[in-house]
Amino acid sequence: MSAVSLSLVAFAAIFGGALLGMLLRAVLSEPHLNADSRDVVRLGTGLLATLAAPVIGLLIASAQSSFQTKSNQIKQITANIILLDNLLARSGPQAQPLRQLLRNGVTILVEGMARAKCQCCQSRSVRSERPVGFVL
Amino acid sequence: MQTRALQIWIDLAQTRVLFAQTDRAIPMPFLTVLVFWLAIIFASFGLFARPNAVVVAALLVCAVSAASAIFLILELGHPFFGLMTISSVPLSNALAPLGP
Repeated sequence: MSAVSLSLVAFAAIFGGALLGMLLRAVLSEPHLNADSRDVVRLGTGLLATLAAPVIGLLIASAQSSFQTKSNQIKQITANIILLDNLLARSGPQAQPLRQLLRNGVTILVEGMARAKCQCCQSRSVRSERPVGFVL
Repeated sequence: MQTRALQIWIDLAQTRVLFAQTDRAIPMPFLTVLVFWLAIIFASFGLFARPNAVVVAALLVCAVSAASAIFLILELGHPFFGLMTISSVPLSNALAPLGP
């Protein structure tokens, strides 16, 4: 499932929980909702909230940093490819086929990245799980 | 010069192998538990508030915010699919100087 549909399911579950709470309030009689039970429920959910808040924060931070790492790796690959091509260009005519190979590899990589993006926009079910890095 | 080229080639291969190991960022059970916690927290909010339009709207907005946090986590998890992707512009820019 894609990120959008999964987060929609999560939203439905969370808001459904809130609605369930309201429904319970309507069903339960008044003595069940006195100050004591309110305190206990507050304490329990306070514990859960302190558990959930750092977990979400840390997850976002780690996901962000992994995304950044991947993006930097792409830049690193680009720099390395250009360097390698320069070196090959200076090594004489026998390196020319290698340069052609390198160029083809970059073209395939760019196309692979674009295709992964488009496939996901058009139909999320048929996207290839094969990592893009394989094609270079 | 040959050793230099070889070194860069090894670097490229290393990065490629690192790339190939992109698996799912967060496991599904983890996400399920997280959503369960959030649902319980919101249920307790709903339990002790007299339902009116403002309460429902506030809960709705808060639920959207919590779900958007989960969306961000999932979306950043796979950088090559989805709405937020790494752009291939630097790579295609590299194609120009590679001309024969």
